[in-house]
Amino acid sequence: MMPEVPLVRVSLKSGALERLRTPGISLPLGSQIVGQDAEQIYVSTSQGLMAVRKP
Amino acid sequence: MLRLGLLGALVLLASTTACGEETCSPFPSGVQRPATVETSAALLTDGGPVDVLLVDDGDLYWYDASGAILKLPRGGSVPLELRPAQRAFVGDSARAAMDFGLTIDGFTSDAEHLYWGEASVFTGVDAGFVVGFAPPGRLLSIDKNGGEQRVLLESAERTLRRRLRPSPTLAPRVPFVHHGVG
Repeated sequence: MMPEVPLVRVSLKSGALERLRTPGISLPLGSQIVGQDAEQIYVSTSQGLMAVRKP
Repeated sequence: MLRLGLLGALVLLASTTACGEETCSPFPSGVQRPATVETSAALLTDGGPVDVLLVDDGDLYWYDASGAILKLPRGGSVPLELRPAQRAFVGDSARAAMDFGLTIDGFTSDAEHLYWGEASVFTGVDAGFVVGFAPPGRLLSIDKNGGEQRVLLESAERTLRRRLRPSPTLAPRVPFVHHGVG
């Protein structure tokens, strides 16, 4: 099983930590956040550019 | 010692009373365990990693290792190629005594255009080991909707590196350029 990179966000208001899980899609080791907008986080992976919806 | 003991007890008490849910820390120091939130993800491109991405009013712009400039319009599923793959290096091929490759740096945009710097990068004996950037350096632009690219600036002695940012006072003219000696 390939190691994964956890995608974690923190609320600057409450300090709460959340791990964003994307069922069926994993972020392989070496993935990096390269951008974001109001709705998505864009992650560069060895497979290509991935958009993760901000829950 | 008694003071320290009381202080430790208060910190521990605070950390245990502040939690109590799944996010409660298993550590006395209060480090949180993240709560799990499910969301969805989609692969937008299958062309390998993207080093630099411009997120611009819902449209996405990036370049790949071949020097191609690509755009994924908002809601689109197929990237548009604004500029095709380029030759392997910038300048005179006779200078390429070592292993030269094209490199792009300082990718940025204003309301209508994309801008980027280009130079050659040469590598050492070990594949992929970057030794340095080589002139000529160029500043190029292209319309966000495609068309012919324009060479705005070329220097035989210098390369254009990072810190390429649109200037509020010059927009929509040429953005500020940081010169780095090649």
